[in-house]
Amino acid sequence: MFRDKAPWWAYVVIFLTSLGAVAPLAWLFLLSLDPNQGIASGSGVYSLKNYASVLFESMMAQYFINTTVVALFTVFCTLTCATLGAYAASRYRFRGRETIMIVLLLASMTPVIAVLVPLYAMAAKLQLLNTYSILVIVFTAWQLPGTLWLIRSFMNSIPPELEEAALVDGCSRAGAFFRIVLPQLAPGLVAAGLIVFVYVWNEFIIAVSLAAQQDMRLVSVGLYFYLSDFGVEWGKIAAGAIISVIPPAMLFLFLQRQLIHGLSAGAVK
Amino acid sequence: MNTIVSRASPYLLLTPAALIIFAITLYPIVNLFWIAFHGTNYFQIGAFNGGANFLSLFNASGMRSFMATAIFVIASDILALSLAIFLALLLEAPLRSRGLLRTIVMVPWLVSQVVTALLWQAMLDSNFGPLAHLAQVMFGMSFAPLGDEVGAMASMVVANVWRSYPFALVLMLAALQSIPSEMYEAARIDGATRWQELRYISLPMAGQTALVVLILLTFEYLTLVTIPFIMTSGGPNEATYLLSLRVWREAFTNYHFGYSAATGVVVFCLNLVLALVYIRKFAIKGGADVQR
Repeated sequence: MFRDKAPWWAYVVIFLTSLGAVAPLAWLFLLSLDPNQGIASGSGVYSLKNYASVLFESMMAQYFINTTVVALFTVFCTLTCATLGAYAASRYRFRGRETIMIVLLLASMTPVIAVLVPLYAMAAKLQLLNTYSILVIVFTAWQLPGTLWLIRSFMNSIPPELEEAALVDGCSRAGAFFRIVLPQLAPGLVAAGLIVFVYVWNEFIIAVSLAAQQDMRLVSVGLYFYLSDFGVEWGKIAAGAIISVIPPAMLFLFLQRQLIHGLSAGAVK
Repeated sequence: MNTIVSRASPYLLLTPAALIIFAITLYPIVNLFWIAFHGTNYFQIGAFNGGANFLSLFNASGMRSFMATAIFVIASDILALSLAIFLALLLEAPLRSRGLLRTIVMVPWLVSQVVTALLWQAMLDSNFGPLAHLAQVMFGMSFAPLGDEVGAMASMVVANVWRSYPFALVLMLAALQSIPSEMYEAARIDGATRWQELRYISLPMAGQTALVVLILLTFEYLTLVTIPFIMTSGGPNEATYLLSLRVWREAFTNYHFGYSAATGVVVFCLNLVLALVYIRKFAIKGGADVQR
């Protein structure tokens, strides 16, 4: 509609939209700097007291460690299983291939909330509640279907001729995979890994259901419990929220180019 | 021997993924249906009780949940999709520093649901929130949206759309940009107005994507728990007690696993219908863009 020329009011609308996107976060940042917390107009005093108290007087630091450990393990497990599966789905012809891919797609659309009760019962029976393992397993299962689809379409875009040449030259299938496919797959793996990492970092409802015990919480769960554990101290909650937003924002900032490259290369067949 | 191994190997390679997905998504769903049709006492699953658990949904409180979910999903869908289409049309225009503007508009997408909920809860707080302060100073009114039924629902929709519409915007923008410019040039030569371009080229061409976006958004909104969980806990007076939140609270607050599972079955079936429509219509052809 406005391909050739932007109307003057487009700038006004976009400006207001940008303001709507950024202003609440800017306000959250100001709130986190206010040691007297809770005065809307701002008291004019700024300090990092809230950050210090969140990091050193609560268990938030522990929660950052928990989240990082769980996220890294989840990324590793997801990428490993997804790459193996994607290799099979991309490089072999076999009976039931398309059916398997569609079942995977259906599985990826399962609502989390519907399976939480059975999962909780299962985890309780296996005595896995409040462990890193259960979170890693569940998150991996959750991210696998989408990641497998993504990596497969990425792998489909890598021409198989190079591998075939390597096989003719006496390379084993595994050797051809590690020496030829994997290096070309790297940008796709970075993009997929980033998506999985940010998913784990931001996930809440699974984590609060399966690992709510005080020392096992993830950052998002810790933020929520801050309200009940320490009372409604918005300044500190704001500081915690700002800290929790930084890692995914940084990752996106630094890996933006790989992400776009990886995703677009995967999407174009 | 060799052929057996090479025939089996694709299946072997798919085994780890299949096992995990089976154990964590498909098996629990079967289990969910099992629990839904049985009496429960905490974790103990008792005798088959027909559809008795489902009856817990068909009372005044259950109906409120259906209503609340319908209002929440429809309002969020309409708001998010129309914002996305409108802004995509504007961001397609040759604006100055368009790349930067596009990035800024996307920022809320990076914020987690937990932070979104806490942020808006703080912003809308009746005592110290900036909006309450503004209402007090400018109009001398008190402002406590989370305290009344309509206000709480509206606040939740706003917070939800704030975080989720950028995703729809990206997809709509991509769809608009993929329309070949020859179509517009041809229309221009035939004397089409801007409005006619929109009506007869942009919207029909991007319509398919809009439908995909609508389904994906509906998915997300139907099963959303985190935002009502933190912002309103379903209150006041159950006005924001969405079905998905009901599933969680029946299980983890009231320990009625049977009721929870029955509600879960309802949510699951609503989703399944959407999923089948989605897969049949779009995913089989161009499976790559199913990433949420």
